[in-house]
Amino acid sequence: MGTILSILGLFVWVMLIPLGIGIIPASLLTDRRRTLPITFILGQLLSLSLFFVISVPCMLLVTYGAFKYCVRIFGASELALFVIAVIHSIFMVRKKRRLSTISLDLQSGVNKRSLHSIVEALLPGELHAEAEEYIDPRGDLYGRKQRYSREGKILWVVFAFIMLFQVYMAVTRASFDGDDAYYVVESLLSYETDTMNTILPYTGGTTSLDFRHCLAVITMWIAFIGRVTGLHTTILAHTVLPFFLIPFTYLIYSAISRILFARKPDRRPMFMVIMAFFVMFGHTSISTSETFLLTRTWQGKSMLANIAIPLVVFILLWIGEDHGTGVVKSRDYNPWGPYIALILVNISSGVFSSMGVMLTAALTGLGALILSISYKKLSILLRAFIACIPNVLYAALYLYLVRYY
Amino acid sequence: MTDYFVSNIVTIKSYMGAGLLPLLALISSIYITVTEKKKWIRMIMGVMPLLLTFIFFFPFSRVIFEKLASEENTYYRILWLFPMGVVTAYGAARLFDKHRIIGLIVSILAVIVVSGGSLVYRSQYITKAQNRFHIPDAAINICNIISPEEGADRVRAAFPPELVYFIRQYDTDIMMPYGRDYVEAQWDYWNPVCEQMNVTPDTGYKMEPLLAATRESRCKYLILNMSIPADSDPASYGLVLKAQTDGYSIYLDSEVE
Repeated sequence: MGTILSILGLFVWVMLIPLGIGIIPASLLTDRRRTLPITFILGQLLSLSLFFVISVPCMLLVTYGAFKYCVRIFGASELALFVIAVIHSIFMVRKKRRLSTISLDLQSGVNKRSLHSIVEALLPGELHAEAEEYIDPRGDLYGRKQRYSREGKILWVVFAFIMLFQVYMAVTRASFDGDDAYYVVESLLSYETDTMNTILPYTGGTTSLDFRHCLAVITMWIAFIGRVTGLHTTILAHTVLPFFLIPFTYLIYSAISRILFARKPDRRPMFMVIMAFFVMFGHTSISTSETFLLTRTWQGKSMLANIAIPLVVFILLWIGEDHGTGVVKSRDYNPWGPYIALILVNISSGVFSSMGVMLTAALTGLGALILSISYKKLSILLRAFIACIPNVLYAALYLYLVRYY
Repeated sequence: MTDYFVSNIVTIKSYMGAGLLPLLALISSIYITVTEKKKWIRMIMGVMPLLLTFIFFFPFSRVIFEKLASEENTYYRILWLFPMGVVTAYGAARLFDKHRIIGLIVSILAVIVVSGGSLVYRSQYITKAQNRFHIPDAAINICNIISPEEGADRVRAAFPPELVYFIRQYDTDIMMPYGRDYVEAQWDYWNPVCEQMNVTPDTGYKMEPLLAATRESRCKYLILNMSIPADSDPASYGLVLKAQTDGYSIYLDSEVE
C-alpha cells in the first residue's frame, strides 16, 4: 500500500502538478510552441523557481524546523497554482469552444471532438496538420506537428529502447561518487531532521548555514519530494529520480530537434538515436556532461549541465527561429514568450548549482549577442539582459551571505 | 598569460580523456557554419560553439572564471556550454540526410570509435546495485545494528575510511568523528581517528592510539575491517564484540556513554 501511495505521490508532484501549472506560462506563447513537452518543461521550471523563492527565505529566516515550514508553504503554493491552472484551463477551453464553428457538437458529453477542442485550447502545438493543409498551396506547415514515415517511426522506437536501457541501467547499477556523501546526505538531513543546511553532512555536527551550497536548493527539493511521497531520499535520488531525469533531458533534446528539423521531421528520431549514443559513449572522462547525466543524475551539477544549459540552447534557437521565420511580425506574437522561459531557466540554474547562474548568464549573453548582431535587433540583447536579472540578484544574495550574514 | 593558456590545454586534455569527442563536435560545428542555410541554426549550432571554443582557450577567460567561481578546478565546466552532443548529432543528421540508415550506422560507429569505446557502463565506478539505496549492503547492515532506538540520542561511531561515504546516506542518526573530507587527499585535513583507521593489512590497527582517539571523540561504536589485523585483542581494552557482518566487526565501547 505504501509503495502504491509513493508512486501516486510521485506522479502527482513530479508529473501532474508541473504539467498543470505549466499551462499558465505556456498560455503566453504562440500556438506552435504550446506543445506537451514545452508545457511540461515550463511547469517544472516554474515549480523549481517557486521552490527557490520559498525555500531560501525559510532557510535564512526560520531558526528551528525551517524545512517543515518550507514543505507546508511550497506544497500549499503548488496546489494553489495547480487550482489556478485548472480554472485557467477551463476558461481557455470554453473560450475555444465558443469560437469553434462546431460548438453545438461539443456541448454534450465527452467525445472525440470535445477532446480535440481541449487539446486545441491547451496544447495547440500538439495538433497534426490536417490533410487539406498539406495540399493548400498557401498553407504553411512550418513547425507544425507532422506525421512520421515508417522509417521515422521505427527509429523513434529504437531511440525509446536505448533510452529505456539507460534508465534500466541507472536503476539497477550503483554509481560511486564521493559528492553523494554531501549532497544526498543534505537531502536526507532535511527529510529526517527538518533542518536546512545547518548540519554537517559528512559527520553530523551542527554548523552555521553553509553559504557555499545553501542557495543551490535542489537537495531541499529532493527532500520535499521525499517528504510528500514518504520515500527515503537516498532511494529517491539514486533509484527513482533517474526514471524522471534521464527522459526529461531527452525531452529537451527532442524539443531542440523539433526546431532543428521543422521541415524534415523524419530526421528527428535519427538525431535522437545519435544523441543517445553520444550520451552513452560520452564518458571519456569524469568531467563530461554525459558522464554526469548517467552517473550523477541526481546531483545539481548534472541537472545544470543536462537540463539548464540545453534549455538555454533551446531557447536561443527558439528566439532565432522566431526572428528568422518572421513569426515576430505576426499580430498574436508575444515578444516576451521565450524570455519568460529564459527567466525560469535562469532561476532554476541557481537551484541546481551556485555556479549555474554564472554559466547560464554567460551562454545567454553570448547567444543573444550573436542573434542580436545577426538580425540587427538590439531588442534581443536587451530582453536577454532582463532575463538575466535573476542571475544578478542571485549573485548579489550569494555575496551578501558570504560577506555579511 | 602563457601559464593560463597551458592550463587550458591541460584542462581540455583531461576533459577529453580517452576520446576525441569534442574534436568531432568542433568539426561538426565548422561543417554547420559553412553549409547551414538557416541563419539561426548556423549561429547557434555553428558560430556559437566556435566562439565558445575560442573563449575557452583565451587565457583571460580563465582569469575571470577563477575570480568568479567559488569552486577550484572547475574551469572545465565552460565546456558544458558547448552543446557537443547536439551539434554532433545535428551535423550527422544533416550530412546523411539522403542516406539516413547508412548515415545513422556510420554516425554511431564514428561516435563509438572517436570516444575510444568509452561506454559509461564500463566505468570502474559503476557496479551492480546491491539494494535500492545504491550503497553497499555492509553499510546498511552495520547501521541497522548500531542505529539508536526511535527517540533515543544519536550515536557516534568510527568507521573504516571505505564506509564513511555511505553511512549517513542511510542513517543520519549515526554521527562520525571524521567524514569523506578527511579521507580524500584534495582537502588535506587531519583527524586522529582517521589516521588510526586509515591503515592497511600490513600495518594493522594499533589499538591503544586508536582507542585513545575514538574515546576522545566520544565514539560509542568502533567498526573494524576484519581483513586488517589488530596488534592486540580489542576485548582486552574493554570493547564488547556486538556483531560481525559483511567482513566487519562491530565493537561497543562501554567506557563511552
